Amino acid sequence: MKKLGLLLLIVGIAACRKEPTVWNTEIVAPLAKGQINFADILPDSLFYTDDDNLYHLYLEQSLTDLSVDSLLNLEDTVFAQSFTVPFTSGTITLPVGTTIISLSQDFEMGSDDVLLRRVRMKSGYLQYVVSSYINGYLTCQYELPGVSLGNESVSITANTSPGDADNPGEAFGQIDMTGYVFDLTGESGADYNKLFSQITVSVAADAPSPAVVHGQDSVVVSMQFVDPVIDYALGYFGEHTYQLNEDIEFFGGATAPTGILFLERASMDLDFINRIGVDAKIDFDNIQSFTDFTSADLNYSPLSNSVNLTRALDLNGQVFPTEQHYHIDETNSGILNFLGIVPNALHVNANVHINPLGNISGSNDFYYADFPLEAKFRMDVPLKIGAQALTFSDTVNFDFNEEIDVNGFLRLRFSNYFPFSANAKLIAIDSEDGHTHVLLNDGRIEAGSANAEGVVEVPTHSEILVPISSSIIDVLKMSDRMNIRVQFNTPDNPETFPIYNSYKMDFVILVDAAAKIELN
Amino acid sequence: MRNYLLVILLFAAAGLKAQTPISWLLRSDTSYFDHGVFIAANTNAEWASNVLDKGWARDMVVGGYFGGDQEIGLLNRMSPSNRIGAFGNGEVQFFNGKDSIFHQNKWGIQAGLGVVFNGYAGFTDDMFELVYIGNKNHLGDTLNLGPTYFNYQAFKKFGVGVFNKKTLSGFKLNLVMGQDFQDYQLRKGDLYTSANGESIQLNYVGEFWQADTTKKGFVANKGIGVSFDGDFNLPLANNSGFISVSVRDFGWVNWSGLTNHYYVDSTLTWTGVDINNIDSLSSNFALPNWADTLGVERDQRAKWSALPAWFHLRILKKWNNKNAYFAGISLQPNFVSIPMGYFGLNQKVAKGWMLSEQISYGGYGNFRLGVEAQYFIQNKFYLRVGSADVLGYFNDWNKGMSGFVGLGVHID
Repeated sequence: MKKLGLLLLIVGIAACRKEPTVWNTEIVAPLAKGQINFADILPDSLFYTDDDNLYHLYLEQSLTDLSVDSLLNLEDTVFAQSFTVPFTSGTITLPVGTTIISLSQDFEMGSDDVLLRRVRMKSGYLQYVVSSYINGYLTCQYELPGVSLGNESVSITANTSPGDADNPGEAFGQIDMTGYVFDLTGESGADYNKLFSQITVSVAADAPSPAVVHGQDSVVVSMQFVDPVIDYALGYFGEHTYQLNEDIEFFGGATAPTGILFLERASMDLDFINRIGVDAKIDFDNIQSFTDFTSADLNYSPLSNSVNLTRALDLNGQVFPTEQHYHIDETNSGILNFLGIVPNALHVNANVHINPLGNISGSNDFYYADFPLEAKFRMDVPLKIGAQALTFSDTVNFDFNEEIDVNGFLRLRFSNYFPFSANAKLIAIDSEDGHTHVLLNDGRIEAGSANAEGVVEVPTHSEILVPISSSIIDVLKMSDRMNIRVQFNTPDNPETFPIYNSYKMDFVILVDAAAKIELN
Repeated sequence: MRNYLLVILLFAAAGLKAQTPISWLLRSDTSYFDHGVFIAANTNAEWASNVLDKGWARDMVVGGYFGGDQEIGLLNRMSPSNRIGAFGNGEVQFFNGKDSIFHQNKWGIQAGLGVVFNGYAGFTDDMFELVYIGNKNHLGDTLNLGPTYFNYQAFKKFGVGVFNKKTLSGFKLNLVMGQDFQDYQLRKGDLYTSANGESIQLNYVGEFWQADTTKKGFVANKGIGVSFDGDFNLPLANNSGFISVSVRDFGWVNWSGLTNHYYVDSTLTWTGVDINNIDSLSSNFALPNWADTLGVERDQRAKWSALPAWFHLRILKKWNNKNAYFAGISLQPNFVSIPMGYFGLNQKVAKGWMLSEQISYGGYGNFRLGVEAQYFIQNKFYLRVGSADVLGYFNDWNKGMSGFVGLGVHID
């Protein structure tokens, strides 16, 4: 009874709870802090600092399309050699141990436009299949005297079962070709692309029955290189022309900035080092810088002419390369305008002509895998810059589901050493219906104030107020992406300012708002 | 949180009423308890504070917007040490006067079945301001958040004992079943907000206990213990009154091994989530794990806790056959409560009717005015109703409320 009374009392009073208890608490608290260096704006691989602590944009890249080893590619090439019995008709029965075929011959490997004399393999496998169309148990002894590792040449012994025209007896295997040398001069020793082979086919010594051989019966040896890598080649590599189309991306796929950069100095080096025993001629169609909206050609007259790379010299395995070097800077080119559009990529378009004069080496072109034809691109831009509407934009994913109710501001405070101002814009995006909501428009961070030498020693302090309210919280909950756009400007364009590695932008994000506290 | 507040406010009972009722001691029939069985049921509820008023309590319990000048008004009258407390019980008591104990006719057997809810909080004015107003007005300033205490216990008890049929002195040993237990002690807590708001420094030492949170409700049993209830009523010469010493809920409960224990003793300087790599903005922005950030050590373990005992001392003195006065002191030993003194008058206004008026100060509150009526109907039925803080029924500025009802029946 007493419990019932208590229960009724609880229920009675609880029934009076018509709504939550609500009050507002005004909070000032730091949410986040950090520091933005130049290293945070650009990838690490794109800059360095010099002895004066001045930032340099730096990019070095090989023009990989210049590799010529693809000319010597043996991969997927199948060599098949057929050995036929020495009579054309009739059937004979041969006892155990009798030799059926004993032949030696050259067979061709390689392509017609490349005349190889000697090849050394760096790695790879030679897979072989011996197919017998003779009705008998056979032992096939296949020799490749021109393929050797040290003093040992390749010798394949294959035992095959009886076969016929439709179902040959087969034996197969593979040989690791690492270090093997191919003498492709054939039986004569003066030929090209010819591999000398010998085969002896006998009725197997342990065959249970004699072999029944028909005229035109044959044994076929098929070989194929798997993952071959050539370490060295000698011969005539042919006359070839191919297109060089090389894109050099600056930002690795990230969203590139836009705007105009005023530069004081910039340089670009093109180094060609030919360690291959072929002549090459390179004709540049153009070198262009690109943005999403515009492009600019590199105006540098020496590249209007052909770049002739004479062949390297091989003295008993010691390679003496030939080189061509081009230094492009603001004194001999229009590189400042070329880079001033803030390109996100460079495009190199050229024709590369290998052995333009034909076989002038007497088939003594050579190639060492460790000594390729190398073309290097190097760009160095000391960051003494002016910026006009230099805009970095990125869209980040976020997931905001906090049940909070606040009204007030986020205070974004900046201490800026950089000699450029920044205008920030924040846009919340709802991917589902595409709605956007501008959370902050034109929040301004003042430029650091430079002294007479153009150096910022004391930061400039700025505060951006971002309103937050229940409706903005709702917008954030509905949104799943945030576009952050920051535009940089230096004063007095096109005046340039050095960017030192001591420059930074400290920031603190504070919440200054009344939080609605709800007690349920 | 609000549920606990609700329970505390609804089921609080004043320790003042936990003593032997005056009407029983001043009964005209001294053989009343010598024969038959007397069954009494009492329900008490009370809360009191030295600063928080009924308006605050209503907003916290009933709901609604708490703001405007309310919190400022409360804050203005706070000191660095403020308190609020509540105590409630409901109990059914059996007094068997028929039997005797060990052939002692003056001793009878008593038994009781009850439930107790007890809670209190002690807090600084700065803690109140931080919670209800915020830290914005204290940039460049330190808020002293400690010491702050909150304790809540709920338990059921069943006890048997003996009583003196004449003086009603006696005692009872109780088996206690713990229903809920929470104890928060922020022994030290300084919060400094820098003048520019860019850093917050916290120095804090605290310990928090929370009984098994997997069990809920009135029937939950989270611990077991024992307690002692006792009354010693010493008659004054010439039957002129009594000196009474009473104790209620003196005992301990062992809360189960699933009791959560949190301990903090650290200094934290919070300057925001560190975003030194702007690339990290590309990933989801995640706030830190606050338990880790604050250095909270957590484990689960059994916990012995003292029950919220009350101790009472009272003198009851008759002026004449119709009038008496009483005075006393009550104490609930803890970090928050102060001793409560009281003085009252008692009148027999008609046959079977008795009225009491009292003024008290202390405990969790300030001055309070109480009234009470007791009525014996034909020496068979007993009725008691009253309040230790009657002003709480009439205005919002009062800092507490109280009410109690008692029923009894005598069966020969």
